[in-house]
Amino acid sequence: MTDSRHPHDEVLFDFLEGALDVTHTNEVRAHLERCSACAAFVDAARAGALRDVVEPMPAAASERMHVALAAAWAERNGAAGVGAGAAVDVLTGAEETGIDVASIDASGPRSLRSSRRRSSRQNTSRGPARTPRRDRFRWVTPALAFGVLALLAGTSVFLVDDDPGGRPSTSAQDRNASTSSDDGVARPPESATSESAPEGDTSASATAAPASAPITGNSPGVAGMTEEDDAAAGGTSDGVQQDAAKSTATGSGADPAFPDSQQHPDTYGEPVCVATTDETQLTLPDGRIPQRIITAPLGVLIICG
Amino acid sequence: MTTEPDLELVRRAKAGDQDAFAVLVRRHEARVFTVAKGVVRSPEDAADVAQETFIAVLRHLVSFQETAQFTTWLHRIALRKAYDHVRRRVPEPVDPAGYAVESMDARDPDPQATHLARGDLLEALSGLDEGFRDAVLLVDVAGLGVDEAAAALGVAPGTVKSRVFRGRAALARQLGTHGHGGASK
Repeated sequence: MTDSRHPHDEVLFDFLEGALDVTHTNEVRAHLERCSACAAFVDAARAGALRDVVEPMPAAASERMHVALAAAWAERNGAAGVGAGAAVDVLTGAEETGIDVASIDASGPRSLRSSRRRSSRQNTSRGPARTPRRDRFRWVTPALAFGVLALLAGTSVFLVDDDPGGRPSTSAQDRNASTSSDDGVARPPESATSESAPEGDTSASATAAPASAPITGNSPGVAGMTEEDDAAAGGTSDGVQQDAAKSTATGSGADPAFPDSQQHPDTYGEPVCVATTDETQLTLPDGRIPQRIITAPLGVLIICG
Repeated sequence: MTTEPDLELVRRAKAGDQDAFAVLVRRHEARVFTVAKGVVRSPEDAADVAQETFIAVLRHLVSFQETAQFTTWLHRIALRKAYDHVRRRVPEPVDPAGYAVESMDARDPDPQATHLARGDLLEALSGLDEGFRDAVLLVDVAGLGVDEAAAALGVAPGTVKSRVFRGRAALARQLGTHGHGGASK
């Protein structure tokens, strides 16, 4: 090394680390006495050397990590149940931490930060385990079933609105049924089956629900009308009872506009839809021939007549 | 804590000795945490990175070649996990007085005396160029030798020396003092 040549960084590093032999150490020292730039550089590097900066891992985070590692160890080694608990004991030192190992599942705990910030980003590589894929889709089957029911309900509403005659959609028979309670209080029909299906078919239809339950257009439940809705529309809460009384005043219980509707349901009866999965079912429960057959998802047929 | 060499603990852990693995983790968790903090800055994120690092170590322990230094391998994983963490991190407001930061001092024997200096140093460290920072973290924080750090970073030992030397000088300049850091030789 000559005075005109500055020592390399590597040499200065070794000088600071005391890794140079005596000869080279003296050469560098002599250079630094003559070269203020190098001397300043070495002083800065000496001052910037990090010592004692290692931070102990925070206790809570450390415990969390050890629990996650214990769970990962147990998972990796096929331990489960008591075995996993034992793994947690070893890695966490359960006596020291006071962690209730019995409450820890194999996926490990969710870190405090993760639980606040990340939405169940559970993966053993990150500590907590990801939710199994099949669990995340547990809701699919009920949702599909609900969707089919909603579709059927929507179809029945559509059929009611699509009634070409514009005539009252509730027959006198239905209204009589709705007012036939023992206490004399007007109530909506309890089921769609009791409204429109012939008496002989009622039990059969009811027991076959929901796959073959008749869906009628005038069901208060389907139409979404409640007694409060009636009142808000300017009627009374017993509006059905009033209608029924009007119908009863005809003496026959039949729809006054269509006096023969009871006798000729296939001509004057209101639309009835039946949902079924039986492709061989070609008639409605009351024996009528269906006017429309709608194919719904999941192999469901909606037969309307 | 046992003074058993790392590689012996690794061998035992590979053979299914969970105690040996626990000792390894306890021995190195503080350095891994600090190295991670030098990159990700947040103590919470650093704790997450430390956990991810040791989980990765556990998963790949079988494939670890015992001809290498365990600490080299460990800190290479830690640095990789830390940078992965930075890349996928969603910026969020920092509350220095919040719960998490307070809880981070739970094991600090004298937080008042050491927190500021460490905080300043790690803050300054995170402002260095990546090459300098990694070298300083591995050598000065993780305590790796130059050859180990060089192996971890995939560079020549001379490069590590140069980066550490310049990184230290840059740190001192950023801190605006030559006496800060508490470790002059």
